[in-house]
Amino acid sequence: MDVETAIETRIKPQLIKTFGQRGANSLLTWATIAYVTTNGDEKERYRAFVHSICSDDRVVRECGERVVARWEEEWKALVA
Amino acid sequence: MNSSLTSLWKRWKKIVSNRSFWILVVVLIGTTFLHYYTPQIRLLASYPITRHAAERIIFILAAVSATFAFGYVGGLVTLALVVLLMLPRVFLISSHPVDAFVEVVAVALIGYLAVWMLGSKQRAVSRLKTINTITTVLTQSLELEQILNDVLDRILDVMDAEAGAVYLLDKEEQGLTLIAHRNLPAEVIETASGLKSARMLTRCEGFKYQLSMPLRSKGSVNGLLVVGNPEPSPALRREVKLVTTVCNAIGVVVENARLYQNIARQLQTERCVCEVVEEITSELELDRVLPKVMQIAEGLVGADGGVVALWDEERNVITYPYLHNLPRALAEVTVSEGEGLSGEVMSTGRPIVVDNYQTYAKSVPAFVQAGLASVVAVPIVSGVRTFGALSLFSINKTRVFSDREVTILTAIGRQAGIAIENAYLYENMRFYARRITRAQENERRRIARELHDDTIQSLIVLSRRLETLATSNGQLSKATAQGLMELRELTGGVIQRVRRFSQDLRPSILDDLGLLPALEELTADLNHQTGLQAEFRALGAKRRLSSEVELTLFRIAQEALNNVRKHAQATRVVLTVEFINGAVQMTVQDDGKGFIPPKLTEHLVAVGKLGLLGMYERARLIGGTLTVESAPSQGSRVIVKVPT
Repeated sequence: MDVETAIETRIKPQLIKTFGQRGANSLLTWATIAYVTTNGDEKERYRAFVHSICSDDRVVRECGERVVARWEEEWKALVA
Repeated sequence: MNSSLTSLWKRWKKIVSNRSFWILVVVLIGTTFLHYYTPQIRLLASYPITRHAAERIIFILAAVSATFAFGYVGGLVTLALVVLLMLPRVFLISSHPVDAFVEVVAVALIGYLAVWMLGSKQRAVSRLKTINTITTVLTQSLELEQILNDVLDRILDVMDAEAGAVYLLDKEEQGLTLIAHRNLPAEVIETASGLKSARMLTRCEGFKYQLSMPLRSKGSVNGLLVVGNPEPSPALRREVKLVTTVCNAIGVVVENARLYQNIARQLQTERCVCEVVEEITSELELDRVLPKVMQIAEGLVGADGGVVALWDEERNVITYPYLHNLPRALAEVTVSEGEGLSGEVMSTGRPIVVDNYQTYAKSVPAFVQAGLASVVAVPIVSGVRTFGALSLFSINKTRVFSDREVTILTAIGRQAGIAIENAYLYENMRFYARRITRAQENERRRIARELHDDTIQSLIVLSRRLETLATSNGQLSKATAQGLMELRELTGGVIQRVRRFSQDLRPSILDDLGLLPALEELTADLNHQTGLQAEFRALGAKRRLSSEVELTLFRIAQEALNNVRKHAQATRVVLTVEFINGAVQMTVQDDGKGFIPPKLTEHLVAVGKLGLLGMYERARLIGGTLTVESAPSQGSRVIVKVPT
């Protein structure tokens, strides 16, 4: 799966469902900044994107560490 | 590969077109010739510099000059060439190859040291110049777009990069917006989402070698700078620290510009709120106030349109009487209590923001069809009474309404509530004033009829009987008869005065023949009684008006002429009634001493001009206006305009 498909079909809907449109927009914005400013290939950038979301305090507080760790694993596996 | 060759070819062409390159080539050829010319000569007899020593100094100078002309890399390349030119002599010609080799190594080391020192200095100067130039650009204006475009150009120059972009963080971290860009692929520029555009950019062929930096201010990120090249650029690796410094400077400027924009927006908000308050306090007609308030609110939050929903107490439904940028047919839509977004806002009394109206559970189908996307709705309240809801929306494209915008709109909703309350109070007051006026007129008519039908008739009978008595021959003494005749004349005078009083109370001609004959009679009476030259004119297509309008105009004319008679010291007065399209205008103009009319009607009470105040109030009760134009020694003009 390519990066954009993974974001649009899996990550974004999950974030909107959990945090609403505004919360999701904010998380995706910071994740995109992490994606763009990471040095490395596309996979490394994508991993930085996922990590940015999953290490965000709001996400951990709202969903709990176990759920977030599962999301991080699942989402990272989407882009091989 | 091809693009790599093209890039190299371009650089080579640029170097070759530089005059310094050819001077350097000539110097190197000349010095090489000297280096391999066998006879040893002493250049200057008094100085211990041999020819080889001079060659080596010139070789080093050539490398230094190349550093000046082509930078650090140019200097190193020239130095390497110098070493290559010197080496064949070491191995093939020199009788002391070890010494010659040591000399070559010495030239290489001294040359490298000189090139390195010069290159470092040049880079430091160049960095300072860059920072200075960029700082100058950054401090020239507070227009973010212009600043960022200028800065991007400078950065691309310094970094020797072909393409670049600056993204800024949207308010409340809701995305990124591409503000400035150079040589980006069309698909990156055209992508609606700034986030997607930034991610796409990193995957572009033109950004194979790139440098991305966040724009920071006080530790928080407010944007992104991305510069890139299809080919490796040494500057992209070398100048990371410089770009970091520049990005921090840009970050601070972005924050300052945003603070400035916030202050400007705050001022704009205050202006709009003042405008709303002004509208509400200067107008009591809801049909004028509410659409205006709605449009001010729209401008304030940059909405595509607005709608005011009101609770219809007679029908027990919510209606949408005021719409902007929506089909007029939606004004016919009604929903039950608590239904729709407006209903929900009115029930809860709290503002609601709907990100996507198309998927909103309580959406009204007609508004969905109209393309409403994001909607913010605030209650229209005054005290504990909720009158309706003010909604603002985007069409066909979702957007975010910030907490600040919702707070301002809530305040505007309260102001609108006060406007509605004021309008209702005014309407009630007008209703009661009309009722009182009508009752007063009925009473006047009754008294006038009583005076005419009873009092005057009795007085006439009395007058006739007195006359009969006075003229009965021989029955009364002459003195008694004379006294009776005087009584009869007095009675006649009383009859005249009572008749005039009755006429003033309610002229029957007004009810029987209408306004124009009544006014004509009024001016004729004035002429007759006071000797004042009073004239009446009727202009336009004459027609009968409603009895309420005719009576009001008659009373105003009566009061105005009374004022002229009592106070104006005028010699002439003209009463004009002009029938115009949809209105009638009556003017009473005199050539009297004039006066300074009060600026506000409220001041009329203070200066004791109650008659004038009564005229204003009468005109307002029938939806008309009254204007008084006057100045000392310039007469007066009272103009009443009433819609018909």
